Amino acid sequence: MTATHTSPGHQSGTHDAHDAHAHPTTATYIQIFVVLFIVTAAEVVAAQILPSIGMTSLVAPSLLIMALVKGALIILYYMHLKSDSGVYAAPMVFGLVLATGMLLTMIGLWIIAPRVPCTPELGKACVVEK
Amino acid sequence: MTVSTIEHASHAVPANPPSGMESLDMRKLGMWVFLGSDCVFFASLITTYFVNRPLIFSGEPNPHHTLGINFTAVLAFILLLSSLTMVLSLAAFQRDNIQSGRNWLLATAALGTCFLAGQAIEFSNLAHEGVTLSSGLFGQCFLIMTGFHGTHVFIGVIWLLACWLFAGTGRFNSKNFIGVEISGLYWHFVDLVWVAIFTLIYLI
Amino acid sequence: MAVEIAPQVAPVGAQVSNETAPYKESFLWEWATTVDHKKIGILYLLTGGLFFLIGGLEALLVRTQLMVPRSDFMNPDLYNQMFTMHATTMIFLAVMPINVGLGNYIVPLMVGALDMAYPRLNAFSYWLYLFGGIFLNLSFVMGGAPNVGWFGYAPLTENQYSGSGTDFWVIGLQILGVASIAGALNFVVTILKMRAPGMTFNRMPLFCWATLVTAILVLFAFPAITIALFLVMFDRHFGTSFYNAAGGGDPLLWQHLFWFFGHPEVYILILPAFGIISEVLPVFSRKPIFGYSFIAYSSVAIGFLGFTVWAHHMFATGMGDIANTAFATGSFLIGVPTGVKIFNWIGTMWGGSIRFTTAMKFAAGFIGTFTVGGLSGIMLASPPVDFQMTATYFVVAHLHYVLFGGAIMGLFAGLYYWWPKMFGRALDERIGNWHFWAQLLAFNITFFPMHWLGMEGMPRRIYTYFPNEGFDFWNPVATIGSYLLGGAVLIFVANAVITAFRPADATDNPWEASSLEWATTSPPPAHNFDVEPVVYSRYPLWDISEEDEHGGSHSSVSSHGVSATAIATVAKAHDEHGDAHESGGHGGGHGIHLPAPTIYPMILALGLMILFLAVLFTPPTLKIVFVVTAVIYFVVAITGWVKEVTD
Repeated sequence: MTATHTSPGHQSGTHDAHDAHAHPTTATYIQIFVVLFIVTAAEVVAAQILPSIGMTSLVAPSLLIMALVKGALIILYYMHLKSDSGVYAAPMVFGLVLATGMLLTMIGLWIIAPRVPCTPELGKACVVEK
Repeated sequence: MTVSTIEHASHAVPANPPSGMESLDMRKLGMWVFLGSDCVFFASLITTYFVNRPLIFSGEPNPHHTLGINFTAVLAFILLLSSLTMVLSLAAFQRDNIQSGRNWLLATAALGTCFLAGQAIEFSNLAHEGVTLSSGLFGQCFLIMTGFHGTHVFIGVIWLLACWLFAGTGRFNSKNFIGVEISGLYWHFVDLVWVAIFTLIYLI
Repeated sequence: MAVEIAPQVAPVGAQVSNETAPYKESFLWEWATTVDHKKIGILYLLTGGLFFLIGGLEALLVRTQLMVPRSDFMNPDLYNQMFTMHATTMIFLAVMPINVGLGNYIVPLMVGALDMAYPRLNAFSYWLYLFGGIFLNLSFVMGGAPNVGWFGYAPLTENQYSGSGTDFWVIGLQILGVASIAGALNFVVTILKMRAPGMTFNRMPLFCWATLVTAILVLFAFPAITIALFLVMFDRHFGTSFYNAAGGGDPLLWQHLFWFFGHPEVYILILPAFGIISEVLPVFSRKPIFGYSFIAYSSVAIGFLGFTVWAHHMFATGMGDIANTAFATGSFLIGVPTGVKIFNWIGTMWGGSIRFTTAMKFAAGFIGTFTVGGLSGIMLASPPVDFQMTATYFVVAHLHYVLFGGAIMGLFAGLYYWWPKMFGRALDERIGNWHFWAQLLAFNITFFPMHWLGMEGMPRRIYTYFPNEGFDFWNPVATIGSYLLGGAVLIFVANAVITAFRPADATDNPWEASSLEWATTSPPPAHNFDVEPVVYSRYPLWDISEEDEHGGSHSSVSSHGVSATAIATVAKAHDEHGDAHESGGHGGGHGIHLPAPTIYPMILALGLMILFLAVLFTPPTLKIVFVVTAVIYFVVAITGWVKEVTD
């Protein structure tokens, strides 16, 4: 094994010029933070205002969209995926796809076959002493 | 062999052909793979909460009446701010501004500690209202999930402080900032999880 | 783990050449501190082999109990412990670690690397595995082994139904889970990042593809069981009731979380065997693999689909027709990429100039026995059939045809194939021949009758049965078969012991194989390759063989036009550096720096095991003392580790 194989020669950490070019500036970071802050505030407001003006069905979709925007901003800019290799993104994307799939499938399964609360009326099986 | 003469003719391939991943940093790749795996840890906990959600909301105390959204919004704000300080720290090291980088690291760790303190206050308030691990579905699902996230924050704070100590020996600079970068990746991921928990558990 | 990654420097990063830290310590110290992927691989294989024998012994006891109706050889509780520990041991302590051991030894060599990506993390994974395995088995002498079945269905695991064995099971699996995730992380990064120049994805050996997909499955499946077990622990000790219906919980949640892990786990066990077969078949058929990309991408397809079908283990729980149909469809779909592989393996042998070595026999036998298990799997994927067959011996027959007829046969093929590379001497072919035929025969005698027993309705996990219910004939047959199977495995052990006394005379490439691990000496020097290999095709060594006196034996390769388009120039280690054999890590002359050996991974793993034992078995007041001691211990150990890496 020679140095070419494992040396840091190609690692991102040594490419000053590249990084300075590819990474956002301090101003960008602060702008992103301002956006994150505003969206979070909007989330809090939406969660409290929307139900009170009779738009309950809009709460979940609007909050999810805002959360996705926040998450995307953090991943793309703070975690630098916008300028980094897509290989870094792959495990994260796969993890998020699996996580979403798991959550939605299980919610669906419990909607198809909802659970009945275990009350003493259901029989002795429900009153096992802890 | 006659074939080998043909093969010799095509020896004119590049001396050092690529394998396809030369530009990747090994430790950074490892961190991303770990974070991908970590997604499923949190997914399992959030799933546990959501399959119990109909029953949680059919009883009292339930999240909408117990969880203080404004207080948690402050916690979310603290974590977002710590992400900003983290990324500023990395940027400072990349510019060889080591003192500034260390200060931002310390600020990030401090904000993380504030978050943990906030969580401790929240948990004790919940306990006063009767929401504990053994009080029922809401208590157990909520406390284990946010507790698991809090453990991540705790590990992150220790890691950031270790980076701060290392940086004191001049180990991090514009040539070598990967240690700060991967601790940053971890820290941003913890923030990311809070974005999900804040929306899915507290607000919806 | 996260803490560990931070300060770790790239593989050359330890910056301690072996000239300054030679292996002069005692034999035990050398192995306890090793970070060499080859030594860790051998440790995995040895430990896995030992647990394989223990698991086998447990299976024999189970079969002895079932030999005759109404047997009182074991009481029901002991029987429950035996089948639980048999499955847990075989899955987590035998097959997975042996897979990991082979991968540990072979994958870095195959991709032409110096070591795994994170050598110390690699050692840590091994020690966690060893102490996790010891921890699990200590339960036998500390209040009884786990007796809840390897999938520990809730609410059996709640503390009103089971004793301290369940705690051992929960914590033992957590330790093994951390070891597996850390090991998988290592494999993924090694395979993605450390491939030799020129080894693009499409030139990567198929064993590496299989290991990559396996590692990804481990990474994304184990978190689910980790969380699920975590919740069991809280249910048992901290007053929650996640799985206890009386407290508002839902036992079905356990099944979903468990099988979200459990189904990918099946592929974690079998995919490495697919990879081994894909290496062995072409070498001994003396032609390239048929349909390389189909085999590679079907592994990816199996891995992905494996995450979408977990609930087919739960048809009988009443999920409803929609869910049953969806999960059944997904399960049938998995038959497609698996069938693609089987046809490709047959296509590889077709028209080849086959050498029936022992490795080849195991590989060919694998195709047959695994196909039987695959077919019964397709039957079970159909909900109506599953309603009839679930929890019967039909399922036991199916899973053993897949895991023994598949995974274990594949592993033996791999062991016979790579043995000369790992130990410098081949296993005896004549004894190997006996081993193969004895095992194939005994395996079928043991497990084929279970299909009929299952269809007759014999339930699994019941400690006995009554006479004249249709189970009286095939049960003793299966039991005798299992004794023969035990004997067959002992033939292998004997083979290993006998050949250990023979001279280490293996050549670099005794099988005339094509992949990079055969380009270095047998066994390889500590630094693997003196000169970094460069790869220009899928079959680097077959390409250069054309140029030396072995060329004639590979005419089929050339006639298929594979070599004509691509060439490898692999610099063989011993060609340039004659004393590589006795170097034992002496790579200084080439500017190669190996990571320094370290004791901290072992210290840390051992500490974890002792901590958990202490927490489980000390009175509450002492627990505080132990936890405080443990915190100090871990701080010291982690600091030592970090200092060692960064100094």
